Amino acid sequence: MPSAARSQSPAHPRELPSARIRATRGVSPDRALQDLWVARLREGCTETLREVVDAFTERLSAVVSGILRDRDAVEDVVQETFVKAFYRIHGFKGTSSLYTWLYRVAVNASKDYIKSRKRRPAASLEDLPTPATLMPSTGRPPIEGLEQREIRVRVHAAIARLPLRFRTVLALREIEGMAYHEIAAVLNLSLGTVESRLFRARRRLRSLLSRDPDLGLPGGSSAHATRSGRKGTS
Amino acid sequence: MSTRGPKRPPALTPEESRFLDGTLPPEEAKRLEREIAADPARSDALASYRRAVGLWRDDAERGAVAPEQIADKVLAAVGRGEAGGAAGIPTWYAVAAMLMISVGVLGTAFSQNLRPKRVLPPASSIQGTLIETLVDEHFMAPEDFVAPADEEGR
Repeated sequence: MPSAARSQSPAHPRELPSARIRATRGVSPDRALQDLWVARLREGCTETLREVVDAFTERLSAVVSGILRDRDAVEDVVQETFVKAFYRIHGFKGTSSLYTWLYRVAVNASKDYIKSRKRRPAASLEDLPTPATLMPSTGRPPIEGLEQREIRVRVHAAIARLPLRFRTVLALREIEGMAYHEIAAVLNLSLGTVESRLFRARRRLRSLLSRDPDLGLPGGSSAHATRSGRKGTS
Repeated sequence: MSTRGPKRPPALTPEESRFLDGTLPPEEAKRLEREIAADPARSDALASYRRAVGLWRDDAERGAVAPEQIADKVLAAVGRGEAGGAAGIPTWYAVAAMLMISVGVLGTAFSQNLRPKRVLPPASSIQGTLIETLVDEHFMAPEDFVAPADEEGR
């Protein structure tokens, strides 16, 4: 990660929680640095591309991982995102930040990947989701209860049943912690549409979770409650 | 005896969604928090949602790719000029498709213009002809009517 200043969000009530979320996750290159990168990328500077890859890969791939689930596909899609961004940088008008534009490219690349999967011939048994494909294999605590693992699989199955537009908006908000205006820029939607889509996505997810009696999990994650601004204050 | 299954949790409200995002004004958030605390079903449903999203996020973050895993591959792909062609293909397909559609539409329009046009009689003359026919057939003058007997007697 570059040693850039933290991203400053405007003091709008909608933006404050997201700024707090991001502050807990690491640095975000400020707009001036992003504009400099854009200028250098337009000149074809591959060294700058490496800096951009270093700065955004982890966060970008976490969101793509939330949308796609398949670890191998995540790597391919993220790689494709940077390559496409490099070649399409001349078409980038600069009205948004490089950050939101990269996410737009990544979301579109994820959609393309899903479409290409749908075009494939009838799914074989290998294509069915399994705990191994639903969950990343790295970083898992060595001893995790069977029950906990099963819950994870069921949660992922519920997420997978969400329509792509809902999964995408939820991933941008819940995984990346984007503010509404950033999500609107990435998905090319109005603020009102972002808010209503988030609401419908959550309602659908809660409905899916409620159908599984084993997922009626008492006692939410306190870490998450803090990160998502549970108190509703800034 | 009731045959209903276990009571389903209440559906999420827009207010709760904003509460989850932390975008509710502080006073409303406190009020809603009190309401939720007093309703075990709502409280459990929110906790379940938070837990599920927390698990999803944790796995997504663990599934994140390290920059060093892909940096060299990205630079190598750029060096080979891979995405330039791949990215351009859909654009060229779209241009080709648009050209073909344009040629088809223009061709149809042009061929229709070349066809000999049927010359129809003016509307007034059609109207006159129709009226005359109707009058002739249905409104014969009495002196024009000849009974069969009279005809025989002639």
